[in-house]
Amino acid sequence: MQHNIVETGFAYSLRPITLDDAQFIIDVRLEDKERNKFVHKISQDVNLQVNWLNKYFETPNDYYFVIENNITGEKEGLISVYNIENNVAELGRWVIKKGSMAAIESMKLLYDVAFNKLNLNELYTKTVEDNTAVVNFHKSINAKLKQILVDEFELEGKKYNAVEQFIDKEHYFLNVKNVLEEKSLKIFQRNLRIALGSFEFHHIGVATKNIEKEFKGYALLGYSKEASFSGDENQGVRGLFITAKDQPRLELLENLENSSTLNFWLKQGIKMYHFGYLVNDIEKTYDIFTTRLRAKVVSPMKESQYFGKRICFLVLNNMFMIELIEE
Amino acid sequence: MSKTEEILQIISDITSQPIEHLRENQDKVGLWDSFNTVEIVFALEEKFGVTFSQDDIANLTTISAIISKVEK
Repeated sequence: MQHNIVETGFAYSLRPITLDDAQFIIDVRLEDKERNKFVHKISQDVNLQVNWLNKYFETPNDYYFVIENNITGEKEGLISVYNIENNVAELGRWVIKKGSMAAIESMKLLYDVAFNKLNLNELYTKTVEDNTAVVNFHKSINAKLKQILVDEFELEGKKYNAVEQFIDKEHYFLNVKNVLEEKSLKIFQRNLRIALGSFEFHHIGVATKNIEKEFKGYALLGYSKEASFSGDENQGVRGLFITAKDQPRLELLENLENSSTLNFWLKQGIKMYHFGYLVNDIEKTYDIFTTRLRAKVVSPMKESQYFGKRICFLVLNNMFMIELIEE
Repeated sequence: MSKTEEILQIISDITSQPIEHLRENQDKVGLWDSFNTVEIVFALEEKFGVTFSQDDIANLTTISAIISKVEK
């Protein structure tokens, strides 16, 4: 059916399927011969797929989603919930592109949609018994076995038993969600690390009214001076990097005369106000953070007098600020 | 311990299958599901300092394929 449910996770999101996805459905459904042994055949004719989608748009209680990678924007799979009856529904049409890491989070996102947005009480799946990879996947995420349905599927003229597995709402929130969420976060962090190439912590930025006075406090904690810059006109600040064994590098910053760069933080009594990261490709990193990860630009790319390279400041959607420093 | 033995140990720990069984079925597809694939990728990347591409992961379907990829 036509719907407008979007569910955004760490690494992947679900969005409603559209007619523009017809070719993708064919491509992803036909790419894996091994997997195709266990699913109904589809035609390579995109017009037939468009016709099927047009019928689907008119079918009530049927929610079909495309799984998209939040970092690359690429489509990586499909998943649906349908046959809704008495707050119980079937999960299916689940296909993931070969080599994609979207399996775990796409499942989590669909369960979140089912239980939080559609207010369902149970989701079940029916898998060809011989398709052990999928049966075992559901088992791995703590799905319960409901029953074996004899000769439930007919593929290429041959009958197959189906394994019916299910997760109810209470079980999901108690025993499943946290496991899927933890794995999803790890997958996101891996995907991001690969996409960025290099993203190395460099310092914590500290707003001060007077660098020297502030330094005396940190000296008590073992810090010593590493390097200073007397006046960065581009940023309106002067600064001092300080380091200590087993503690993060700090960048103490002070407004230049007639500059108000740090006033926002100083007025609120906030000292530590940004993390700085060295990046290989600042333009690519800037693009990923601003277009894919919804970060906002606070200070666009400009030359840092201290680093002699470009830097920029971005605010993440938790309102925390980061500095990207070109390596 | 050789790299092959280390790989077998990692997969055995993740899939809870005896090492002997894995050793005898090095070319068999379907010894683990996609949930375990994620665990195997994380463990191998951490242990051997490698990063697998999407194409690599698509082909890590057997123990032989994993050994061959890690030893490259």
